[in-house]
Amino acid sequence: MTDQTNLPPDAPDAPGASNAPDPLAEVAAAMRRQMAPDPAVVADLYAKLDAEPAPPRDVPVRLVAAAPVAPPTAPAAKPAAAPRPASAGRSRRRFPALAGVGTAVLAVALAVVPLVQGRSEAGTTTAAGGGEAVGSVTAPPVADEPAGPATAPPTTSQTTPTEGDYGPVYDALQAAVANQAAYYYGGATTGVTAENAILDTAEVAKSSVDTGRGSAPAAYSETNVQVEGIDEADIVKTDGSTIFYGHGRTVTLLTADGAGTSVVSRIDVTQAPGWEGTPGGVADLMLAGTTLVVFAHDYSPDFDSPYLDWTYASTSVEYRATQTRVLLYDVTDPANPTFREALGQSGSYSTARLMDGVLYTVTTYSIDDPATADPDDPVTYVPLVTDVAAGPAADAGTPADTEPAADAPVAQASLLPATDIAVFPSLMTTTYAVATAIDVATGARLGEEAVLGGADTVYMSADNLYLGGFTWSADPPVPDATWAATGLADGVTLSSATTLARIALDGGALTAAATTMLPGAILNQFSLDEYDGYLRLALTISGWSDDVGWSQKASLLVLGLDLQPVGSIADLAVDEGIQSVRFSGSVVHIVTYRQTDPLFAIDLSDPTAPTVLGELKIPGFSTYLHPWGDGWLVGLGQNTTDEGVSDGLKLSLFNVADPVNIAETAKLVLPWYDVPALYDHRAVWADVDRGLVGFAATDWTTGSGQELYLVYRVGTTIEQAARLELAASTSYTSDSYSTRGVRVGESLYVVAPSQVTVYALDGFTPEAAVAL
Amino acid sequence: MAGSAQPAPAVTPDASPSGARDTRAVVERYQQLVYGLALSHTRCKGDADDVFQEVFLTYHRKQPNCHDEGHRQAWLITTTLTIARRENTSSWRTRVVPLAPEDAEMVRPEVFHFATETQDAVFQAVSQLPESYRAVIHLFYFDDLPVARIAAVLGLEEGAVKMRLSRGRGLLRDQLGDLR
Repeated sequence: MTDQTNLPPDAPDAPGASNAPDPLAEVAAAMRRQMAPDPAVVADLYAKLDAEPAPPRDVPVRLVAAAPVAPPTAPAAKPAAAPRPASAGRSRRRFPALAGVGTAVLAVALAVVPLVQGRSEAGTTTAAGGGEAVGSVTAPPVADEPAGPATAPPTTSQTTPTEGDYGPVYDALQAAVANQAAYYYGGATTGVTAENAILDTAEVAKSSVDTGRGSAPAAYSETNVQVEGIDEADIVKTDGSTIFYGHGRTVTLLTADGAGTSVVSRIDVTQAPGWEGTPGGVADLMLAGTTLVVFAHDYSPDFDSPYLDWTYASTSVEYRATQTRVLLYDVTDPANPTFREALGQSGSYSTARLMDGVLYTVTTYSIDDPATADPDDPVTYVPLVTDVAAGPAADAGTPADTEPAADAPVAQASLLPATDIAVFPSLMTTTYAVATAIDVATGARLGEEAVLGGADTVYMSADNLYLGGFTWSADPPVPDATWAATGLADGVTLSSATTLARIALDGGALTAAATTMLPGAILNQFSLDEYDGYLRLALTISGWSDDVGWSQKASLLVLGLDLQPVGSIADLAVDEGIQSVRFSGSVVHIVTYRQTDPLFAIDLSDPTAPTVLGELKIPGFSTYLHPWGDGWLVGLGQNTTDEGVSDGLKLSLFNVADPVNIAETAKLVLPWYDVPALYDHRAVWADVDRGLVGFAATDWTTGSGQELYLVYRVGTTIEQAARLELAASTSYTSDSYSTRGVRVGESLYVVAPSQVTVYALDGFTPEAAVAL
Repeated sequence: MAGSAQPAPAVTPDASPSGARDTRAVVERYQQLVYGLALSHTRCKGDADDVFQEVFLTYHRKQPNCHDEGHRQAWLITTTLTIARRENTSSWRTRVVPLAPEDAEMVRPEVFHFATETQDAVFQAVSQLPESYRAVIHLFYFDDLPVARIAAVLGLEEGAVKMRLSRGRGLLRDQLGDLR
């Protein structure tokens, strides 16, 4: 008989195998049931299991211990800072839904368990900056190898071998790749335990940012920021005498001098030293005293892209923003800006904040093709920070020499120490969020932290940086307590989820302190607010359940600083999505929308029991809410007819002094302009003292795309104060996204790509027009 | 000797602080599988006991996100083999037995015993198989896993599994002679 396989004739399943009973099988069957452990062994195991602390899946795992080995401390030594819900980490076990009993569910689920403290010898709690390795120090220019691949990890005062141990980072990355495949195609996923976790258990000081403006009237307007005292990067900055405008590859400096306004200098960012690839345009600016910070992308061609088609005679090569440059210029003399230094970090620019002279920059760095990650070469998968100091007599305004001088500035790239990389324990993404802190005055790096998790939303409070990453996933590991707090039923399949990380600022040291997975999506940074030791956030949760089909709802969550829920309103608005949120201390106003625009006023004075105080149902919805003095809110958004059809934009004034009786006291419907301010709060110029609101718009109603700057007076009525027509755009995109209105003194400066136009605030008569 | 395993209860959600009850259900369902593998892959009962406990403690700590029982079983099998391998390379070094001077005779680690001599012989023979055959033989004969499943769990081609089975059986027959 032909042997169709290569199997020996006595192999199981081999053709021709006899049907004789297998004596081995008989004996084995008899042995099988005896292969069981002693009951005493099993009982001992159970005892050990009971003694285990709760598995904290939502702790950011520092893969490499930062501090030297310390003796393990008893788990019960420090009680939890906030109560931890039971079985916080079991994502696949659902509590049955207890509809409408948000706080009662939490009262049942909450149990105080000892906070995990370094369950193995490797873990210790680090004080801020104690074990944290400071990143590369800006060294004076060294005539070493030119900018290029990273040098060895930075040497600091305490170089420990673990800083350079990237093995766990590589493993985590590969595990994330596998987990992504598992979620999409089915399969087991692996997580990382907290064996090496370092928890930031330091008592977090309450927010100390002054939330009220100084009593003296400001001489000029500043960027419309979310949190007073924390500046946000924007394309236009001013210090009251100079206006800085970043557009394209140029930063233009103008004197703000009313009729005498003029350009005093320009900075061509491509002339800054240290570009490794192709300089991109200016993404944002920040002004810190006499230092101007310019954010721009460093692009490099992606020859490894899987989309490159080498079979054709010509093909397109994608340029990717592999690095973000942070360029520092000394603008003490605006007519002669001087390049100071360039810092950089891997990834594409997300946002930046300035607080107390410390610049916080966030980028997102994706390892798109993890197959290119070489475990022996961390440069291929670990974020870098780069520093370029100025060479002698570097002048931003002069063109670069064609040949680099012997003492030309060189870039020093350093890998982020492995001790500054944390991961979400669920390991679901191959994108790092990279946060760095720089002392602007000296250019010194104070700290950095990379979290293997995205950063679509960035919110910074006085003490913490929160990074929210949007994920699509069939079954995101949302902790049970959060699932219950948002009132989700057992059989719901979520459409989306959000990873959330809290990075403690620690004066710039930056420590990943907590992570969690939230159901649903965060609209923007205004959906989060830290107050009095709690993080409040508003979510739009959508998903599929067998009985209802697809549905969505708006939920309000109050989390402790460990990102575990303490209170919630699970079903704030069913079948509605959140359109705008504004937190003000113990009150939050939320606008949801499906057809009508309920504006909710919610009392948060008891974090464990948020309560809806009042609700206003009107047509349309606001996408941006601005506090307008005591007891008032201005809303900018879309207007709709009674049938729910959008027919234009609107500005509304709400009286919210009595939260139970919210009223819309004034409203103005605007034509259907293209208004970036609807979704970018920095594009809003709000002058509450003068009762004025302004923003740029593009009017497409006539077909030609008229660029406008619109100003409205808000009082007992809302009226248009000015409709300023600007020069037409010379590019194929609308100028309104690159246009800002800035007040200096009694003049309004409308800064647009081709021209800066100056208007007197009184009557909006034009005073000057300066071509750029 | 422990009795036979009861039919394992469905794994239900629990609210115990450490999730220990969840893990207990997994222990009950898989203790025979894990312990049996540990027995044939370690040198003595004490080591097998250690490996058995270590596997479930690791399961409890790592919380592998198993989508279904098949994945859980696969995770437990591969983890048991890994931990047993690790135990073998370290156990003899670390084993410390205090001996009083009068206890001259060597203390021998406890060996797991079966009901009959034949069964003991089979167990010993399987335990002494080269490592590459041992897991396949064990999973096929003592856990009734089909060839395809063994291949998937161990990351082998089906043909490789069949080859190892056949050669393993050959080695066993050489060692044991005819089984009665």
